[in-house]
Amino acid sequence: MNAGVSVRIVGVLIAVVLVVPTIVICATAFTGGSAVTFPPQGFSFRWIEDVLGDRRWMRAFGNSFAVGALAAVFSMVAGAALALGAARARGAIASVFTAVSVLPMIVPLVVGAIGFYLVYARLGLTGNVVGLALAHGVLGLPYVFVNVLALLRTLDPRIEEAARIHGASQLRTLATVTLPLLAPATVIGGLLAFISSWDEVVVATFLSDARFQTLPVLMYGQIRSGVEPSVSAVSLIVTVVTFGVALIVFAVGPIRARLARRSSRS
Amino acid sequence: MSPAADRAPGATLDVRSITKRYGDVPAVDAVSLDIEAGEFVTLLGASGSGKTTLLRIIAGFADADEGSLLVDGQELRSVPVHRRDIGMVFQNYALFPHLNVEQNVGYPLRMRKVSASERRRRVAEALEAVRLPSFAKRRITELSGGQQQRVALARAIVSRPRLLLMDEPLGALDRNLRDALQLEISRLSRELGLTVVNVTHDQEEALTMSDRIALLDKGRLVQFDSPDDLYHRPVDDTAASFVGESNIFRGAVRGDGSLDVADGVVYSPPSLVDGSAVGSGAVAVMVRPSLVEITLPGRAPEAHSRVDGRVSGIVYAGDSRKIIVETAGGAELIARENAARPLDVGVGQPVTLHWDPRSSIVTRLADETATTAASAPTRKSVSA
Repeated sequence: MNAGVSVRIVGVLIAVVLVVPTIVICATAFTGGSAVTFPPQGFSFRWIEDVLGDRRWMRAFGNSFAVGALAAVFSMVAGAALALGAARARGAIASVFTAVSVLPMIVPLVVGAIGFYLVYARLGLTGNVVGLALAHGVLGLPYVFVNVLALLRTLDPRIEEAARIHGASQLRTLATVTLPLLAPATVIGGLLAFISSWDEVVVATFLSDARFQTLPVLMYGQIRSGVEPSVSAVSLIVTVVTFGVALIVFAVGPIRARLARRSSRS
Repeated sequence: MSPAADRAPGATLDVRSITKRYGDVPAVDAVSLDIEAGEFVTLLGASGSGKTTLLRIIAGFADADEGSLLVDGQELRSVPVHRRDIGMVFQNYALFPHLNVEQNVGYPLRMRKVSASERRRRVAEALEAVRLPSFAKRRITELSGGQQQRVALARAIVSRPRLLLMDEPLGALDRNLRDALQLEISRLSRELGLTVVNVTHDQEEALTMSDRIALLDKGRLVQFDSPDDLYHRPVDDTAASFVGESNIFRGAVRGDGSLDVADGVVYSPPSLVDGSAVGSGAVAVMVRPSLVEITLPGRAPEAHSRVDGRVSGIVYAGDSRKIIVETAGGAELIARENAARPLDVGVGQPVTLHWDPRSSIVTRLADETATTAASAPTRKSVSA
């Protein structure tokens, strides 16, 4: 057995471990029976229809979407700004920008969640979209920061100099040249931030209450009282949305790469 | 801008003892240039000569430590980059990849709040001037290097700036394209009466395009003269070795005004030396390879300066051969074969190089302590 074959076997094994549970849970969403079984009994859309018709699930769906979208916006604005700061500042200040931006990846999630809860409770930012979106925006920050910084590092500084010498102030250079060039990387980071918010359950649990719940929080609550096929149906929906967003990321990726190549050609 | 202003010639640029230091090392050392309106000036020098730093100071991307920059008599150093009214062509074009050709060329006008209709007219005019009239809607990525550089040129001239700066504008292009664009840039700058400051390390480009060349070395201005003067009347051996190919010998002016040349050169007749022009003491004696003749030992005319050596290499360069001769002292000299009188020489053959003393140039040594550089003739080849 040569190395190529063993690498492939390991690859397949990892893929199975990663993907099979998702396939199983999504498949059970189509069961005709009233319990989560695999293989599913018969085939029907009744659980999916059930979920789509359920106001509680639909409200959670809406909350998750609103939180994810708003969190993505927060991440994009703050992440792009911090990346610009890190790329342009010198020495210690650049390090501070970088540290701030990657910290959300490093701090244990549950610790961060308790911190958010303690602070946000005092500010009235629990149990609503804005509070959770802010917290998720912080968690999504690294995705935008890393993407934008990587693009900034390949950007030819002479492009901005060309804008300056041809009559653009620093602010107009930023608005007409730098930000448009950074847009693809920022959007990718934002989409990743959306995905991370979309299935985030720890912070969401701390910052939600009985009347304000996101999909993962509601799903987690449901599972504790027994696994119903409706949870499988919600899982399917959550997965489809995530895959949809991920597809956009993959589609934007090549565009970004082309832009980066174009602007850094030397 | 009114149509009359459209035809206004470029400004004068007075560079007054500009100095820029990085740490203790001066990158630009008290350089002064008086550039006339409509003049095409090239800053020529090797890398590290300070030419790019000086250009960036004029552009405003860097600030000088000392000195002043006067454009039409007004101090430029306190003016922010975007208000300097300068057009610039960058080495790697630095076009805006997210904008099309028309938007790139129109950018300086948009920043100057020129109306959309006026903008369209002038963009079309500029594209016409660089011979890309039908390219307005193209994406930048669809253009070749030469086309991109034309677009960059159009962008730089579209607002009729007081000053056009060019940073190695042809460095990224292949030779044929470079030659064509050289002529085109010269034509355009003359037609528009632009004042141009061009940076290059390519002496051929400098000689072809410029009204005057500012030769820089280690941050200092060596010579600021017309291409003709720079070629035929270099002020010292640095200038002589940088512009054109040359054989350079170290020599000394004796008390009686005659010349003593190192490397076994018999310099004849000594009375031709005008010692007063270069002062006494160490000098450099330079002769262009195309003016050096090659013959068998003992056959050189009595009136000619001469040196004996052995052929160490023969190189085909362009339309004539370069004969490389090593002297007894180990110095390498170059002679250009006269195409009308082909030579029958082979490697290893002893020969005598000789030349009319009137065709050699005696200059001062830039740095008398640099004996190594002076005693071993510098071989500077034309970039071909």
